[in-house]
Amino acid sequence: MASLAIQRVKREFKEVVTSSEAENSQIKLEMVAENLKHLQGEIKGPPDTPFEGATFILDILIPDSYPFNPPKVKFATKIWHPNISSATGAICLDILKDQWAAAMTLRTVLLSIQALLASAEPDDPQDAVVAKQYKETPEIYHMTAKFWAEFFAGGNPSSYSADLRQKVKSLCDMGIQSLDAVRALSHYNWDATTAVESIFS
Amino acid sequence: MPVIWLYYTNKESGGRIPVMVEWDWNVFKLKQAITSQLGRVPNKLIFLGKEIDNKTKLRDLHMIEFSTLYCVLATNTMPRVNNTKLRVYGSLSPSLPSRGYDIQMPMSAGPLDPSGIHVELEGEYYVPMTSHWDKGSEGVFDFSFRRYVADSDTVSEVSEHIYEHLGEFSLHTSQISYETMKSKRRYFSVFCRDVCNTITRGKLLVRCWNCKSNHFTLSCDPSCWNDVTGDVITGSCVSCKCEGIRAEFYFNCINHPQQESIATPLKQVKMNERSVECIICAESPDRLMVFECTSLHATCLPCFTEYVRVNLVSRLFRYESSVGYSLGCPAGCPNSLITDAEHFRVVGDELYERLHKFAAEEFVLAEGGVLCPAVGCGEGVIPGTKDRLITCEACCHMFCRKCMDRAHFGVCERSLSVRGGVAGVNLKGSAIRSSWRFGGDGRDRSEESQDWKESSNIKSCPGCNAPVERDGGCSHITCSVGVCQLEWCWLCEKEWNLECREDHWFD
Repeated sequence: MASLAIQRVKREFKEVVTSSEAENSQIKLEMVAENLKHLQGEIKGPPDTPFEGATFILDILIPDSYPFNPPKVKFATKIWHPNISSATGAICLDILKDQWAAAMTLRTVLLSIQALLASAEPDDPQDAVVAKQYKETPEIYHMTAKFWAEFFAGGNPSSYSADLRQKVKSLCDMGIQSLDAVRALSHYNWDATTAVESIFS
Repeated sequence: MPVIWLYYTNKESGGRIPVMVEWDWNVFKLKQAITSQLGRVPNKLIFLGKEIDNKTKLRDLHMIEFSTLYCVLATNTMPRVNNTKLRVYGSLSPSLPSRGYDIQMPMSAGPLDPSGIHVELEGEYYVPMTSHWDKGSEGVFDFSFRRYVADSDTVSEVSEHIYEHLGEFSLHTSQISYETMKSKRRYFSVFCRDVCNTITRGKLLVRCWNCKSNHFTLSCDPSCWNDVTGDVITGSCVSCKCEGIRAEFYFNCINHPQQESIATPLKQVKMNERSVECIICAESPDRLMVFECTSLHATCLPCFTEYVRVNLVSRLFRYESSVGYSLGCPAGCPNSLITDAEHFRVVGDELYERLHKFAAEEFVLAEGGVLCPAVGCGEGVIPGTKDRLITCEACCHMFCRKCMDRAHFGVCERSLSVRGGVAGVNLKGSAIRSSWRFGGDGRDRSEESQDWKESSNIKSCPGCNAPVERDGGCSHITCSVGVCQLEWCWLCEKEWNLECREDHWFD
């Protein structure tokens, strides 16, 4: 790993740890491997969103050419959001692609991703299914996003969560993995019959 | 003792003599040595087109053995006062408040003509009788004055040692500039092409625009880049036959000043006088690369080098007709493209060559031209607008402009959105990613290109045929070739559309 990359990551590590956001436990950064190449970020779901109260883990890979090329960031925690792939956790965010600038830091990356959670851009979606739901049936999107946040990321439970959990459980009873169950149900707007059909077809 | 060359001239004659010097000498001491050697009094010593004062130490001129100095000899042995002013601080009498006075002294004459020195002080002025300048460079000197009172015709002669009154008599201004020069000397940055092949300290030199002689005195010092690059500064050529009045500035690398080498000035590399931090690594180096954006973002030179290298090998420079193929501020500011390509030499000869290759390709494509797709060729051709079949003038390969394939009859089914087609696989010396090193050696790479075709993470851009490597991410690809910039779908290999977005964005 290039010495500049190491130097930068060390400095940015410090920047995140000493930042006011880290103090309010909004963001967090940890090392996975000792070589600083593989990091794990953590962001809190922003208030007044379906993600409030949830904690999302981000998988961060630092390329050798950092900071001239952007870090590779994806969600390790499952999330239901139009700009994030519900399957792979890939993020659609311009600063992680062609709008990256060498002056940006891991702190700005974490904060930008947190901001993305607060304001989705369904016209530039990563996850077409979620985007469609976000646009056509916003209430179901909201409910689903909140359920995913609760189910996978320790978000606050909602009034309808018991009901949804019951649906997931009924699918699990058929021998379906809970993740597949949640995904299929979310995909088909919580219509259990269609979801089951899609899995077994 | 080291030896320097002294070119001397006056109205009648000129010549060159070697002078033995010590680097610790100041210019005054050098003048004494010249006087004893030539039997003539040097009037002015000229270094870099500028008269140097007596206090300057030879060491601070960064002279090395066999450096050259120019010397104008006085027409008579006793030079007259010239009006160089030095500010003297301290009071001339204990009863007067300590403040600054102008002391007029002939800088070049030194002790040879003490009558040139006089001090004016509230209606009284002092003219020195004798002086001892041996501590000259320290700014403390000892001389006695004859005191004149201006408002009466009576001249009372007071022979006194001023410096006894003062205790300390210092040449304030020259001392300060002397010290600051020592601690933080400003200098130009140049790229030394011939020898060092890196960014070095530059020496600004001046010569006559007419006869190219270094025997030239400036009417005023250059104070900005415009002065150096434009033809605005005048002066006079001291060479016997030449009547040149315009100065021509040029640069030399400080590491080998005697060698005739090309050292191109780098305008955007500046002294870091306010301890600005590099926006990439946060170090605060002596020199910075300053971008021309409104925020004046700056990076250190190692970060700049890496920034250029990474963006060059990924072909992420931008082509703008007014500037050419260039790179902007690393913070992404608008209107910050580097205008002088000399700055890009930091990446080394091989990559710099590649930069020119890319730039030429971008230019040809921007002008509506095409690049020959033949193996090992890549020649740019700018054909007439209607021609479909094109023959490359360099290799005689005939190809179809629409599909960039071998020439064929009939209507062409395939059409690239950018007509030129960066036929990356076949393109000589081109690389889209650093790991793909196309030799540029004319070697047949059809085997290599076969490997690429088989590799699932490499495809050709449907807009310009440039090979694209996908290393993770979604299927929405934006081509980085300057004139292309096509957004396309990795799966369909077609222009990005709504269906791709809704159906397989991240497959």
